[in-house]
Amino acid sequence: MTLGVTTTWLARGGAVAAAVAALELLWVHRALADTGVFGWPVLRRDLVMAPRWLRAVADCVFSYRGIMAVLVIQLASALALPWLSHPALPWLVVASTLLISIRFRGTYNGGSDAMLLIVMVALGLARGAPGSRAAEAGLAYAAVQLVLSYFVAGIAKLPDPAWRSGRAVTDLVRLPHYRAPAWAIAALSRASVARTAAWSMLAFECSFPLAFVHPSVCTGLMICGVGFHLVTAIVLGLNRFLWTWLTAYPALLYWVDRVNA
Amino acid sequence: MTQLHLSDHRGVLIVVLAILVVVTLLARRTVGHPVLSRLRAVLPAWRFFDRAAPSPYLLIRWAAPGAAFGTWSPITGGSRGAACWAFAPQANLFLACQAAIEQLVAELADVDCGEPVTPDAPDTDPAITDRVSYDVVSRIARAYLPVASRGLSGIVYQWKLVVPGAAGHSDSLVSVELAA
Repeated sequence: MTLGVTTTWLARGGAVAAAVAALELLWVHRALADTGVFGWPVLRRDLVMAPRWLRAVADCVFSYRGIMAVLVIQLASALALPWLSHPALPWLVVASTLLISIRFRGTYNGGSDAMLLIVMVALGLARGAPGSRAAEAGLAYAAVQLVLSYFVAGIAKLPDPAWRSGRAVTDLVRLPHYRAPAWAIAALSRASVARTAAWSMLAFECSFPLAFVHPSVCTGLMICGVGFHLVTAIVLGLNRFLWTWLTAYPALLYWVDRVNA
Repeated sequence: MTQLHLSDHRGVLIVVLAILVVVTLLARRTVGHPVLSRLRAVLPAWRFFDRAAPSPYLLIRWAAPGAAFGTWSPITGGSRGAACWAFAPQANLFLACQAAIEQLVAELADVDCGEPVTPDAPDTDPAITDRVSYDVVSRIARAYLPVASRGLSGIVYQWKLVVPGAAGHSDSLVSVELAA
């Protein structure tokens, strides 16, 4: 996989991931209005100790109108990514994603915001200096973060008896805020199914660094990854993780090819 | 397009990898500083479901003017659409609300809430009620009031935050009466 092809696929995937992120927030814009759940008049109280100039800037950017403008910029930049190769576009997505995360006191959608930032930084570097070390370093950063995202998550679960027995999977799908479909709850309430699902997940996550061993191993793990993210999107509703994680896959493929060349 | 040799920067890559591993592991610690916590997206901890424990949840109840409060009921985000695997604005908003609820729980871990006089006695400690997270949770409760309460004037509501603990024991925090 060449640097050019990798960059093209990062742009295509990033366009979908960033556009979905912006559209979803525009869809629920009432929650961001002054009287909404995440209204700025409440959240701005976090800045009571901040310098006056910072509060003024935050009031401008994070007010309802300001954040709507940020979302429109993110959407427009995302949609332009596959068609225009201007290096400013991914950096605009980086800036808007970062602003949205800060407004939501850290992140709006957890790790998916972080992975979107990582992919867009990689794309920004690749487009800013095509063929340079900076471009390759950006892709390496995305590839390593992708591997870490699975490996660290897997290693952290391994010592927990609830995960090894499968009980954690049953508990997870029963958490009311995920609103998992009834068929999934019924299936994963069976101990044998839950244990198989838990160990499949642990094996996949913990073995992901093996992707660097050979491109065919990487491809196999990525196919498992697509299935894993599809299942979590369908069962737990984690749709943004599907888009952002798959967007990072070309960066890993590029580096696995380089390492094994 | 110029292809650089891997051997040119293998050492740099190893150093970057080592730094990222260390930073990721450090990022898994709970960040208390308000500025750093807002930059969580920059330093991802990749913390996905590593604690298989029941999550805190929010109950709400409401009353028409002059009437008694109804029973506590959990907030629900409604049904998920068929395309939620691809596009799920309401579901992700509901997850953001859950994250805000968990943030309040995390903040209250350092606050001595005391024992309530009665099970549903509201907590009026300013160390709790003056928090931004408290107001956000109040707005979440208001946003998810049942359809039957909407359009009525003068209704009041309360929320109860329940934090499940070990061996079936759970802690709870009850809000003051709030105007819808």
